[in-house]
Amino acid sequence: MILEAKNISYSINTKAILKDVNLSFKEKTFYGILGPNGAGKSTFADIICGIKNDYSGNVLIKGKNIKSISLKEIARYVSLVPQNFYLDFPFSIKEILLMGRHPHKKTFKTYSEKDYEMVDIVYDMFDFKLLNNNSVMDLSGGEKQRVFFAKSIVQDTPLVLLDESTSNLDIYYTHKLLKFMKKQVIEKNKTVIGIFHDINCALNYCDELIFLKEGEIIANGILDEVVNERTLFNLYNMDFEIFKNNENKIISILPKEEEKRYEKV
Amino acid sequence: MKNSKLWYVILLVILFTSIVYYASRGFIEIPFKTTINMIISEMFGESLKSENMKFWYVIFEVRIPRVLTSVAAGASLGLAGLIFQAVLLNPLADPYILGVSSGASFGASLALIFNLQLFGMATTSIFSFIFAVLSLILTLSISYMNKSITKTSLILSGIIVSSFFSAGLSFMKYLASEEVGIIVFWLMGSFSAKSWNDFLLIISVFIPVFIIVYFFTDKMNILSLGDRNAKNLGINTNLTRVFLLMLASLLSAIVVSRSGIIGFVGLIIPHLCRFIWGSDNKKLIFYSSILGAILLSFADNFIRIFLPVEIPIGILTSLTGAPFFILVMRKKFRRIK
Repeated sequence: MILEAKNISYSINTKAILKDVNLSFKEKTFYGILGPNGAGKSTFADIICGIKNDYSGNVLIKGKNIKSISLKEIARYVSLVPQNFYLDFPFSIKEILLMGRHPHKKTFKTYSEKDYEMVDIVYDMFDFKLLNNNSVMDLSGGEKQRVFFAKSIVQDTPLVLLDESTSNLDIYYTHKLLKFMKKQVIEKNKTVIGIFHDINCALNYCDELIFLKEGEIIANGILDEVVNERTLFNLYNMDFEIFKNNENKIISILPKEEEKRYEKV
Repeated sequence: MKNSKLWYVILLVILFTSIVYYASRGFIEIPFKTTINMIISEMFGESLKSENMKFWYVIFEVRIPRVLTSVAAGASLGLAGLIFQAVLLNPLADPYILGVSSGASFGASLALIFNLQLFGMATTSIFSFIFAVLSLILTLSISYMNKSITKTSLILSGIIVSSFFSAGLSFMKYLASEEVGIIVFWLMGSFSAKSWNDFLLIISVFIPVFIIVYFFTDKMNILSLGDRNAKNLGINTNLTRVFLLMLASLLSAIVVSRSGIIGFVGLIIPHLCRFIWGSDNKKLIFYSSILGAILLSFADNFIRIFLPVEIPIGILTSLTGAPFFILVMRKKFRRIK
């Protein structure tokens, strides 16, 4: 187990956001977290990468409780690709990528040659030379997200958190980057935990799914086991049709007819 | 990296040449060569004091201390402005906007009016520092809502704190009907009659702060990505932020206490540097400090050498700074659209 979340509860002003969540994550697996808005998905992501620490329960990364290690050490285990971010200063792409090496840098030391080399490799890998390199501020939302994918690769962590990281990407880059992450999972034994709104995207890449609703896990497990009309209805309060191919593999999920959606709510 | 080292050298050469130039110009004109000669001999311990008493006195007791004080103040304001902007993720932030200068001038006026001598010569400075920190704490705590500090709430609370201390300052001016002239002139900022002590006080704060900040520049860069991303890169954002804000407020407090309020320098210099050399704070702390020193000493000596009447420097910087601020603001708003 690379990551274990035990009895995680979190609330803001007495409103419970997460209620006694227990999850464990294996190496070399692509996880998807699905759920309606306000289900506590991003909060969960914040808790496991040490951003929020006023929760109850325990998070163990490789057996270590994250409350007992520094943020910097956590940052060597988990990297986060955020949904969106704002930047008011004109940093170049390489400067942003170099920041990804900060958790590996010794305090009071400068970045090493190896750090710069790694930045260059990832920079070429993501074809950033095709973009306007003067300022990340001038990039589009999707281009910024690609920069942050690259930053998490530079950060070189065994665990990568995608917090709706493909929300601004076009369909080409969505699949390109998710395929890339899948490759990282298979070839480099990484664990990827992705928060998705696009259920079909999750179907394509995830090995296991976690359904989160109102701070509680209503189902989790291997894709084929958890995805059925009943759990999907429980999750989103609407009916879905599940399409399978000849080998009985789920290929697509679509909402049922418009009228029916409102009948059952 | 090599490129930036060349820039540092060029800027430092400009700075030193201008210092020598300023030292030779003024009411008593001293030939440039003589000035260079005297400075070099003084530096190597062979003072030419006995040879030319008048020139020596003008250069080393009048002009150089004043020029160096403006250099140190410019460097401090440039650095403080850079820290405030980087830490608050706000390119429009400067010590003045967050009310730190108002607090500092309130504290200094308090010491000036009531003629307080609690800490000897440094009383004014210490008072202005205490009130600068007080106003910073006030600004931060007012803007701290829902476990976070947003840009909008920061600027708003900065205005509140600033106007609060301004009111206090006005009240003191009202009380001190006779000594009001000292405060008014002091508040507008001036480097006239600055001594070696003023320079040494500012530089003895600037150098350690600069060295500490140098080790925080990587963190300052990462802070620009916002709290969530910065924490995920292993940075204790709240602690780093408060620590750096304390250092910046220390810098601005010292400058305000020695030379009054010199507005807009802390805003313009980091902007200008970012515009020319990019956003990497590791380079910007050098550029901001050196360029701040060059521009502020230029402004002060422009007033001293070329203007018929010496106007307070704070007026000049605000007169030229205000239009620049408008430019920055418009550019920012255009980008958001």
